[in-house]
Amino acid sequence: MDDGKAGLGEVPTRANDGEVPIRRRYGGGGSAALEQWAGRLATSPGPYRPRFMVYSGLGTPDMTARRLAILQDLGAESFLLAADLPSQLGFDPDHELAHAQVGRAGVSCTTLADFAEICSELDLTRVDSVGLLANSIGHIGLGMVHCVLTDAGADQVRLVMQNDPLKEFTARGTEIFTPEQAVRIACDCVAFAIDNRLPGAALTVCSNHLDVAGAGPVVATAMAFANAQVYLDELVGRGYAVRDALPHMMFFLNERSDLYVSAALFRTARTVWAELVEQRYGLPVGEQPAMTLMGYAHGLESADEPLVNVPRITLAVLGSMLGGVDYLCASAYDEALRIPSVDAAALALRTMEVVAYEHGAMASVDPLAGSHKLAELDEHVAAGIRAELERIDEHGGGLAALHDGYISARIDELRGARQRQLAEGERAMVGANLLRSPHGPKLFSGNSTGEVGFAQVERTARDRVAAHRRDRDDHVVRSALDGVRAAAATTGNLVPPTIAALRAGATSQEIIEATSRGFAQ
Amino acid sequence: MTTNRPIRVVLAKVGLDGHDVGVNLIAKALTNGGFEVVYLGKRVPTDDIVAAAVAEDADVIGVSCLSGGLGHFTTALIGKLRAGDAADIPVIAGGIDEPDQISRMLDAGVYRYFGPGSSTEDVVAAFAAAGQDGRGA
Repeated sequence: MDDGKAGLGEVPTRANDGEVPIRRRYGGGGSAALEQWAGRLATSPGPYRPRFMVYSGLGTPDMTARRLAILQDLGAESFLLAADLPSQLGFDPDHELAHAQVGRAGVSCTTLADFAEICSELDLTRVDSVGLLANSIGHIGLGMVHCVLTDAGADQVRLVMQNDPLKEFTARGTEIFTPEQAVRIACDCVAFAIDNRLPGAALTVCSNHLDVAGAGPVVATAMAFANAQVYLDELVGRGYAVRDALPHMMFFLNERSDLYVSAALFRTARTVWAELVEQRYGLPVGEQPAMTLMGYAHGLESADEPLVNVPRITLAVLGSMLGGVDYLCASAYDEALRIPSVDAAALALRTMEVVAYEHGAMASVDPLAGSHKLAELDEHVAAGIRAELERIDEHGGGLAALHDGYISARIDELRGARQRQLAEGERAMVGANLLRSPHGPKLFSGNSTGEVGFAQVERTARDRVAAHRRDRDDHVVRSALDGVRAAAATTGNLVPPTIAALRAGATSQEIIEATSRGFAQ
Repeated sequence: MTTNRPIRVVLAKVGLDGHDVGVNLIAKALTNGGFEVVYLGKRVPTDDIVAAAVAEDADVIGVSCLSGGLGHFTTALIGKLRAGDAADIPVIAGGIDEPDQISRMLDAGVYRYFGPGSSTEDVVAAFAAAGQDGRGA
């Protein structure tokens, strides 16, 4: 079995029926950036050997803990916790606006105790990384993850925080603060990670959500790069070196409709970003860490024939691996219908493992290098990213383009490409506009059923937060929240006082309210 | 109510879900199809939807939620329309929820439900039919 440490010219495997030797690398044909990184790519896990990631969270913390334990037993290495919408927006589960949303699109996680319980059944000695979906509450999310890892003595576990608030304003809709305040929070997290030498990414810059919102993968990648520049500019303005900041940022990109375009997007994005960093910040490509890249294998998932999503996801997994992602999670076949059932989540994990271990997808670094087809796709994708970055620059960069409405207008302009292609028959979707079958739901529904009693989840979460408030020392909580407010009113880093507030027992809602009060000052 | 003007639709996202691709696509398709569209935005309370629909003299209401809770919000909306003497405005719902919740909302009087993968053409046709029904045609 290849452990990712074979030398570039070595044959790590003959594990195929013909015993044909498969080399780690087949020479040039890749980009200049990849050539400069080649040695490092072949000697460490990461590119071309993705960690198997699960993006999961459902119901109450104990329900999620049980789910994570099952997935870890099956080989999951990286855990990105999906918080429910009230948690992502800083509403406690008993807030009026949280009604009917608690534990539905993720796990209810409003206190440090909640996150500790979510992680309570993980064997952290076998975990590569842990993170929380906290795009608009980055300081709280990072505080929760850091406390749990610190308390467990798991200093080796890397961060995979999803903490990119700028895309929320146009793509996901969980914005809370102004864009400038949001950037400050996100960069406080990266600064905290640099200052404390935390491994992994305190910030994951996402194109995926911009893509899904309508921008398409190429333009979305450019938008994500523009946002990444906003964060880096802010950190550089605070006096941090780009070479120190880059290891604490990763990128979540996606292309969901074509195996080869998917591979081209990942391998091209890595090199375009490296060139951009060299040009903008003067850090030579060879001295940069290779971009840490996360992919999420999902695509045209059907709600009518859910089991048919399995081959779709399998091919999306392969495209991501051929493109060289560092982290990969896969959609579950029933994800178009509900929070995945446990069997579907387990199958998604197994899908990644089968592609990785049984079909040689991880054996070679940059396996598509030298392909004439890929070279042309790469050139097209790279040109598209660069052209869109120029347009955003003409609007003054990511932040200014957000404020003047360019980003929203551009997404609006591009939205609906897939729907149009399907409607016009330009693109085929089996079971929908091609080979449509009246038997679909009977043949392809799988075993997925709703497993979560949401009314009970909501009652449990409300009772849990009420009991939490009763059991704490209010004076200590108020004092800690004053610390958050005071930090927000200055330029001090929000993460340390947020950690103090979490440890005192403050809820996310209270910390967000204290942050808002400080910002208002 | 006048019947010679275009069908007027009030669209809104309910709950905390901010994914607005679907509702934006439908808004565009309806506008292109000659409808008048008032999009109220994200995180809209059901009381505000009722108030807007009455103020705008809406022929149809469309609500969207991808994060679950669609059954809860649409059932509440139907109840408030009835209480507000606006029960004649049909409600079309789009998004994801469990089958029992979809049945619940349809039983409560939701005109049509559309799940993921629905064709834009079908959705626009449903709004047209609902608009005609809402006018007593």
